[in-house]
Amino acid sequence: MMENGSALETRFGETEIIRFLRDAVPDFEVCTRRAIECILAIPTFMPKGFAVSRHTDSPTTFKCAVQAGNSRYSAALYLGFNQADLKELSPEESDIGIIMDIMGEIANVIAGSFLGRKSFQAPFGDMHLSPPRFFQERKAEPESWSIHGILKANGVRIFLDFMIKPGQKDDLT
Amino acid sequence: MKKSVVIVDDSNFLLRKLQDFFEGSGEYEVVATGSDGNQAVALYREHRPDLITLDITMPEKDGKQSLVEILAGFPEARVLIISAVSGPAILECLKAGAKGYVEKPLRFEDEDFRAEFLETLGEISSLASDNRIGK
Amino acid sequence: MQPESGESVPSSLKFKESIRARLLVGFVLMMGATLAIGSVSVLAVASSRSAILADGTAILVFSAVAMIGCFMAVPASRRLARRITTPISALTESADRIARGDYATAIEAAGKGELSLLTGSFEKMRRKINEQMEDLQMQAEDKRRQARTLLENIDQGFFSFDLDLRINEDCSRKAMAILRMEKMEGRRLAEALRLDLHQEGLFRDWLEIVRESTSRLRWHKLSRLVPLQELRMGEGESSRLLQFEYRKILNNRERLSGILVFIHDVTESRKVERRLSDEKIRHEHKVKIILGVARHTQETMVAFLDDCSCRLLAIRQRLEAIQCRASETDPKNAVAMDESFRDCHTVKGNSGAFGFDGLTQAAQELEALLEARDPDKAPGLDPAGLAEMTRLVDSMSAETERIHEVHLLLSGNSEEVSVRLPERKVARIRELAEMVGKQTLSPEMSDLIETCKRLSYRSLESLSGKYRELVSRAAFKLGKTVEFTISPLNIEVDPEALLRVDEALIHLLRNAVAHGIELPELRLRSGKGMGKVELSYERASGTHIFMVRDDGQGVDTDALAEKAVKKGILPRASFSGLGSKEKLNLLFHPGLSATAMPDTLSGSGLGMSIANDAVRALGGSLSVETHRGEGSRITISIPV
Repeated sequence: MMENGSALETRFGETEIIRFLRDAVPDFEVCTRRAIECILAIPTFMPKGFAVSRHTDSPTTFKCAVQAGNSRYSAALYLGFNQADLKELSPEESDIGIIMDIMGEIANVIAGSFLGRKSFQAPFGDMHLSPPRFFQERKAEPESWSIHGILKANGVRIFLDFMIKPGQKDDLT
Repeated sequence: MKKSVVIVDDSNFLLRKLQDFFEGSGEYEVVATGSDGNQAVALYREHRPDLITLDITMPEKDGKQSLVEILAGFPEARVLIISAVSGPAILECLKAGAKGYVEKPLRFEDEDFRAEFLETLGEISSLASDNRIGK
Repeated sequence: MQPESGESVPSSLKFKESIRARLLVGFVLMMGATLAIGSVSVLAVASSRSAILADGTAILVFSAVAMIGCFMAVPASRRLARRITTPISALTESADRIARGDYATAIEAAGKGELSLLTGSFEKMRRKINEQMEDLQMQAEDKRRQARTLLENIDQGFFSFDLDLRINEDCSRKAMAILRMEKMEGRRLAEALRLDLHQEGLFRDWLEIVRESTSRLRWHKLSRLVPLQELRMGEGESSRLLQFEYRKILNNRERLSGILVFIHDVTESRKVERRLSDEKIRHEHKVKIILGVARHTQETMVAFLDDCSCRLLAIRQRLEAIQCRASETDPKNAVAMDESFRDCHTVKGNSGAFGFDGLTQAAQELEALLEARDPDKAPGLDPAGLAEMTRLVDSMSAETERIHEVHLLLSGNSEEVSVRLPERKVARIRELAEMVGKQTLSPEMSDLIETCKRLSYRSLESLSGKYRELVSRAAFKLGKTVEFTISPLNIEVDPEALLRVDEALIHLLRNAVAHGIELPELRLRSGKGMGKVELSYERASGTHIFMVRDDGQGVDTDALAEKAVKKGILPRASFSGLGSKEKLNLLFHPGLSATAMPDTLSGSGLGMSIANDAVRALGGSLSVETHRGEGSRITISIPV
């Protein structure tokens, strides 16, 4: 007698995605803070807690994104920041290119660790990650629910968004 | 005699950190660095290092594919995967023939992390030599 | 002749190698030789003795004798051989049986001499082997039983699987119960762990890699790469969350022979974690509420709360209306959604400004749901969507209620909006009011002056904290249970007036507790409950009236008079002529105490007289009313 315990079979609709995101907020917080703190070697602060909604209203000039997906779902992690703030993030670095590199690395690590968690893998399965890409601010897709929040490091605000939806991913650009 | 290593990662920031670490260990000499999968394969072919490190998420060609290509041409290659991705992807790389892996984020300030990294490196050298004796 | 290399022992013999054959050959040869020699010698003797025997005869005789000899040799040799080979083949058969594993059949003693010794020893050996085998079997059976008992009773779920991903024999009953399998041995790992083909393949890969690695460090990392670490068994509320822990099993050559799996049911601990995390979030929201309320004035809070309640009510009503409307595509629905969205957006903005995170988050989610409607389709009005929206409105109302509670708490429980003024301003206003009040004024001006004077008035409740404490401490010290009340509750009192009678009140209250209220046992006997002491205030024209009531035993006026006589205060003669009022007035006489024992609390009987004197000095009066067994009431009146 086989119980239906195989999780890869479940199809997540909108309600379940919302519930998953809500439950995953603490995990997401841990992943993001850990990534930033380890890579930049500075502490992070949370001026406002992470929340789940359809909107990402981050007033930033730049975004760094890692896209992920498999045959059934697509997800993306966005790091938003103001270009002007970048210098303060890592004062010893003079090369903006390196700092953008660092942001890319942070995005990569957050995506990797969050998507690698068993709590994520169980319902959504394994996903392939894209390398981090940079682009100017554009409105996020209105169809997807996301976790979003702000972390502060070295006085610089980093806007974080993670969204996931059923279906194949569209191109960012 | 120092061992040669080629480091490949799409983040220059990390390349620098890894380079510092390897050279600081006293056992390894960094002979080349690359930032994507194609460079990884080419650099291995050119330098035949004792060790090559690959990230999984890289532009052009990802880590797993580079790994497969390198091993196809050089079955005795020692490849270390350094990646943020965890779970089945790493398992697949190990199955494909990577000799070890290290998880990101790399906390070089942490003594325990450094010690574990060095131990992993040590294992890789000894594992590879076991393979040559014969199975 | 014997096989030297020791590779294999022959199990069957060819005839020419057997003992029988050899004996036969030997015998025949020997017989033949003996007979030949015998007959040659006989013939030689015969031929030398007589020439009768011809050569032909000699040969005939010779041949005959030789043939007879040979015939006799065969059976003779056979018998001899059998004597030797029978016991040997019996032994051989026994040895074969032992080799096949049959230790139980005994060996018959056979043969004579050395052979019987041999069979004897053989039999002894067989018996010994049999005994030892039986012993070992019993031990193994014992061990098996022990292991089985352990597996049946241990509360930890575990099982193991071999390198072919087949489950091994020994798994705990708990494991079978947790994984809901009646029998696990021999089944595939994929069945137990509900793996699909892909996962099974991953497991195989993982196992391969584990086999190749031997060092501790690798295992530590590899065990984290296991394809399955958690599994949800069952559905919904009754589902269990299982966590798996893996260990290597090595054989005696230190090579991997299987993997041990421990199953932990973490449903409960996960629930606890979830609850704790929810608590933490709730707590953080609560703190935000407190900070938000404290930072803003009462008016702002009241305005905000009113606004929120109105909008939430509106949204709720609209949702209900939508539910009632028959058709989903009713255009009123779209309007309703629009308006609700705007309301929700406003609440979100306001609450965000205050920092009320809990409310803001709920508002955010509702806003997103409301905005998500597609104007071309039916505006997201499936029952599930509506239910979710209603749920969110409910949680927003709950948050608003929480904010309201904190607001009440911080604003001193009054629904009224109050303002803060520096005390000196109020004192100044009062001063001026009193000065102006001395003149004759129009009714409106009098009113104004009166209102100004009353600015400094405060509620009796807020001013009588010290009396409350006094009463409760006195009660505690004397072992009595007393309830202190204020009447009427919200009456406003001039603090200055209260100050004037403060000393008197203290004495009166102490007396009420000490002499008025009886001990609990006494009260119980007379059917009274907890002792009651009440402070009340009334404002008659031009007079402040304070009253201290108690429901105790009242004053025993006769005892009082008796004591006065004893103390020489009252002449015995006038005792009988005294009315109860006059007797009561004795209370005010210093040196007279209604109880036998002076105690530090109520002094030595001076309290009443001190109070009386103090009140008199203020130009007021003090009067006592008492009923035996029911209580007393002391009234202080002082002019304004």
